Amino acid sequence: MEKILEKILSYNKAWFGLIFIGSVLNAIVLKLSAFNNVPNISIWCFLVGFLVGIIAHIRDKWLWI
Amino acid sequence: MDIANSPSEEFSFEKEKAIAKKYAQRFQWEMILIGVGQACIWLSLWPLVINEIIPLWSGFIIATICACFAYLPSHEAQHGNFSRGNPKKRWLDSFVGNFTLITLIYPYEVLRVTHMKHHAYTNDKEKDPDFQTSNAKSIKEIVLLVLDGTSPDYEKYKEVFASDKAFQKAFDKGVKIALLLRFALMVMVVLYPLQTLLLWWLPAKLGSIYTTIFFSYYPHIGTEHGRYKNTRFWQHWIPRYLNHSMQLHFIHHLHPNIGHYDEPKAIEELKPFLIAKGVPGAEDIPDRVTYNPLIKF
Repeated sequence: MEKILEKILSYNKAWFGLIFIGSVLNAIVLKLSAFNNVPNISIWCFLVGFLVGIIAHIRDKWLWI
Repeated sequence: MDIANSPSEEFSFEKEKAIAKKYAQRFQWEMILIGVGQACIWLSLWPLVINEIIPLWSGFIIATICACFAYLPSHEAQHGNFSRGNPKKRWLDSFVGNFTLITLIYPYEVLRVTHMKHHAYTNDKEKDPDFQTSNAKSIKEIVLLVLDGTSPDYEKYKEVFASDKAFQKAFDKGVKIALLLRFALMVMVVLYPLQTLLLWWLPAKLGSIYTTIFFSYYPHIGTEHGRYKNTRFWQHWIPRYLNHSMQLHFIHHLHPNIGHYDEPKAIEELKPFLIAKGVPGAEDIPDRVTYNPLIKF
């Protein structure tokens, strides 16, 4: 159980991307009328967030510094 | 410097310590008020913003101010300056230390043990957890380090101090709080995404940048190893009331138990000692520090 938890936590940047960035992006696009007619926009937002998180996980940092 | 063999009897460590001790007695009620007060104000922003009693942008500004006030009360707690060695009052250190740091999303125990190591190994590249930020090349570097979330790399210091059992125990305790804070952040962002971004995450980042610049970077620029050499007196265009008087941080490194608001008076009395011991910038300390904004353009 502890090892599973450790494995999950080792992907913390990916989870942060999916949940935090995804939720924020989703909230922003829902407020913008330009995205009103885009199908499955919420899925795309969470996917972008997850992608950003996965890239940060692979690079082990968020910014290009 | 071997503090047992100070340069002269007139400025002996014993005399210095006796003066410092006078200012390390008072109950730090102001810090408790600031710590608990800012956290309560910050908590109250959530219902106010969610129920649209105040706009999100004003909540963001207030939350950022709260975040800038959040670290110092925890810092006093880290040094046990609320309990003052009384075991019955240790809960006060723990309560204020943990509660005030919710705004900054930092675990108190991790900050406490790593801060103790910062005091023990100031400016040591391998062992000082604040080395990366206190020896940064520029403010821009600090901003990027804090935004990236890699400053300081606490996990590295868990390995560095692997043989220190007390450090490990407190660190592990802090990690649990860190996970709890992170979990709370994730729950809140799902429920209230923009509010969580602008009331918690971004203010915490801005508060951390402010804290790192004034608590870590400026006081240690160009300083060396050694008790009297690792922190400096400095002046700034910002009045000291807006940067938590961190121009006076050197006295904290010499005598961490002096209460924050008692530091100016302690410095006034200890000034001859500080000059004699060669504290960087000590010659520029004004005779009257109390009420002096210490502005320099």
